[in-house]
Amino acid sequence: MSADATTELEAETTEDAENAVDLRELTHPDPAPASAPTVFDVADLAVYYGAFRAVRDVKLDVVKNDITAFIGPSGCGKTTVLRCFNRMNDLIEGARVEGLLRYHGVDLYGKDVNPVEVRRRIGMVFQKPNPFPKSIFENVAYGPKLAGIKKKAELEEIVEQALRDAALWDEVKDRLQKSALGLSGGQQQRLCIARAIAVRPEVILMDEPCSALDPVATLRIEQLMQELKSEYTIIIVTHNMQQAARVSDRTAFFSVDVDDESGDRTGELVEYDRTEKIFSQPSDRRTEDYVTGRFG
Amino acid sequence: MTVVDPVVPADQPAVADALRASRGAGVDTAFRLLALAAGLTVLVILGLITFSTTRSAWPAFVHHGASYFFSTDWRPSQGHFGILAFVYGTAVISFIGVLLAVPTSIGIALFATEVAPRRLRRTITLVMDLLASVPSVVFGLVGFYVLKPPMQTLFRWIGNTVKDIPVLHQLFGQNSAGISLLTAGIVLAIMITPIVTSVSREVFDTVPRNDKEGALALGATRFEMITGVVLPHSLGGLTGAVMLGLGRAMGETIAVTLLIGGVAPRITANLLGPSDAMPSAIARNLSEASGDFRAALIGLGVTLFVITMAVNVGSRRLVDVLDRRLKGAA
Amino acid sequence: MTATTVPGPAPADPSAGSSVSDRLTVPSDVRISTIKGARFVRNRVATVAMILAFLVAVVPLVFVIGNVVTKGAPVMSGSFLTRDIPTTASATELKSDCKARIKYDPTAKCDPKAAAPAAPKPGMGPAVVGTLITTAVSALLAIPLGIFAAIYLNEYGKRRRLARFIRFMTDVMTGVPSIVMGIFIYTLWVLQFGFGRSALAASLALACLMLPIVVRSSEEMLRLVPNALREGSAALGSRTWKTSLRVVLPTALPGLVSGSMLAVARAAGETAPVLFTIGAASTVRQASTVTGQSTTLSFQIYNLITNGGKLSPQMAWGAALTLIVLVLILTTIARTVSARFTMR
Repeated sequence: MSADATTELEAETTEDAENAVDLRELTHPDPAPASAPTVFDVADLAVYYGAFRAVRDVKLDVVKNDITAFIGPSGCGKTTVLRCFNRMNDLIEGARVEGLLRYHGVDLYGKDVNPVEVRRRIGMVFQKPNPFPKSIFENVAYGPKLAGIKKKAELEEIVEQALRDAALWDEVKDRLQKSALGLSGGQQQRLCIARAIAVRPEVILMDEPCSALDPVATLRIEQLMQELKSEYTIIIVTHNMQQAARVSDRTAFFSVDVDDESGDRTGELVEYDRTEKIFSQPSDRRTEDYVTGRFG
Repeated sequence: MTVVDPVVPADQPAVADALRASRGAGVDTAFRLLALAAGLTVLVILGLITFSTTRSAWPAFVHHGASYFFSTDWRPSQGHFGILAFVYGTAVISFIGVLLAVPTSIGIALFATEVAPRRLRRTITLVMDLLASVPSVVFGLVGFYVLKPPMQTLFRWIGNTVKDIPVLHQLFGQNSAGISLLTAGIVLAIMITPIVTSVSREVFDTVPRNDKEGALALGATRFEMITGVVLPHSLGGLTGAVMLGLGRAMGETIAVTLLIGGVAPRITANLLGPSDAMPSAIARNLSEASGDFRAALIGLGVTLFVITMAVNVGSRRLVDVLDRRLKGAA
Repeated sequence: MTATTVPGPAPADPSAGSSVSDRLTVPSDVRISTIKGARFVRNRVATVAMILAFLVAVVPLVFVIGNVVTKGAPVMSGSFLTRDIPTTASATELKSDCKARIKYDPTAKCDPKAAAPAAPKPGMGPAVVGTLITTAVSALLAIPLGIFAAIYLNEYGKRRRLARFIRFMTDVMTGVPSIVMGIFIYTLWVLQFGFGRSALAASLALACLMLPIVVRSSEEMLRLVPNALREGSAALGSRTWKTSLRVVLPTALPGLVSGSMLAVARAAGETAPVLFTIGAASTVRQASTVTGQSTTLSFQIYNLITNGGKLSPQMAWGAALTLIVLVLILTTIARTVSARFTMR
């Protein structure tokens, strides 16, 4: 995938294209040192849908300003786990979370925690780009408006900043009042990222953000993630191992455990480590099978 | 049960069409014609309704001309047939019905689709189905025998309380019967709530989950998600639901007949006064009427038919336009 | 690690520190509320309002059903459902008859005070019979026609212009007030053709009311039949009619039954189409007819209310209870069948 292709297909500015080249070298930055602050610590997390246990034994720490990738075969519960981090599973009837999921030491499922407060701090980007059927401006301004910003000038500043941060400003600055649904898939997804970061969350959860996009748009999002990681902590679910290898600092590998007797399929966390380690010398056989393509 | 927008199924491959030419084609043609005839029956009936009722009402239209529609003077014994006050009565009670039923129905529909747990959802459906299945005449019966006396007391109290307040004393004037425009309007509201609720629910169910999650993920409360995503998305469908409810309210007969008062109507602002509406005037008098009176009553039916048709066709068109605009902006 | 040399509008740009955006940064501790209380209050108020809206709808339902059951049950009995409707004249007759009997025979089991209201025994037999007959006849007329029309729309017409037009007009017809159907049959059947009022005339009016409901619900059900079944049948050499009758209809049957039952339930409770078309009948014998005059439960209730009379209220309540039970039975059958259908 060349920067030229990017230029052609997405009408990038040369400046952004240079970005892309720069970022080649940044693909594998050192993960944060051990002393870096932990954003999430998860212990013995299990998610149930009714009586059915979808995921079990999730134990991991998410480090600030890292990109953490969740990989694994379909049905391994990686999305389910991701949706625990901003309590999106609350919306699913019968979904229940057991174990500990702490955000800066506070149990996210504690009694005194309001999910709206959680989602205010932990943004999310979905698998399928989901801009509201409103103008581009209104899409990005939606969150800040909820947060109480009312002055037009301030909103304009925030929207511009968010769109710049999402590397979308130059493409849309002349059509802010046009419908967001007129954008290309890749642009829509970056708009959704702009919308998420407009409220200045600390964490951005990304649920297979590129699965509906073409390779060029995918690359653009991956570059954007690298740009964003200095400001935000990112957790990304991906079914694409190469993507995880390209963008992430740490990787969690999930697998499916099929119960011999009941036939129940339960997802579980197999291994969680630095990305290079997962892909070069995994400690678990199942991880090795998966990353080498022998399975999944 | 009520389909606002017919969705046409994807065409199947024309395998059957290719085979039709082969043996036994005769039976298939016959079957096809039979089915077509059945389909055409709908058009034939609608045509016959228009023709037959208009024909019977024609003398009234011709004889009284414009004054039939625009006069409020309805004295059958003197041969005066002006239906405007009936139209007014129908408009007022339908308006009250819609005004009360729409917010309630939208609230129930939102509760059912966005808030209530699954088990409660089933209860809501059950309650609405039961309410929808209560025959009109039963609402009339309960209203007439049970509600009328307390309504009388209540209306008298309201009338006395507001008699010195401007505007309100005109809306809630003196009344002694307990049956009135307001009574009929309230019962209409109860009767159209199930249909408006069920259509609104269908509409809300079509709001993409993705959009709703998008709003919630940005830290919106459920209410903000509803006002920001669900309602804008549902504008067209909700308009359809309201118009459908309006059409039902205008045509609803028996409960209204029993609860509106049934006196020669005047155009008055007093909601607490007895009055009359188009369908109830017909229901009360047509059986025994003859001659000009009968033609005038049937003319009332034709007018009602035309108005409800216009509301129905208009609502479907409006829904199309609004949906297209939403998608165009989309 | 923030030392990335990303040029351009990098978020790491220190000048961003003073921007409006940064005012949006909130403390990490999720227990610290950053959201204006008013937003949660609004949310809660809205939720409460929705629950109230539901309760507002429950109240009239409970009120209506409760009244009908408590007031109708005392009258209800097997003989109420089968006995002829007493005329006002016979009521007074029976009352004086009772007094006369006591006069001549003080031991007679007849207390004019207690028995007087019951003496002309309330009965709804003709209305029960009439309701069953008119509803059944209208169902026989409307359901086959409606299902055939649905077959045309879904199996033959599909997206053709005529089919789309019929579909549209069927939807419009659903919105035609029921009293207009009554007027229609009255003007065409009774006035124009001079056939007079009869159970059949009432059935025709009810059938007009049911037809569009049956067509639309049946078409919905036929649409649910997977195309693979049709193609499979066609691949075996069946023509459309055979496929429709042998494959599509049997598959959709429960759905068709359920949709039709709902239409029948609706028709059974209707009064307006019957008013000018059915005539009158006060004995079971009279009402046991299709071509003659008859009566129905809903029509009787309406008559009892508008004409008054001593026995009227209790007879009306009894008739209402009977009617509601009848409608509920039909609706329950429909729901049960459709629940089975969707479960498969």
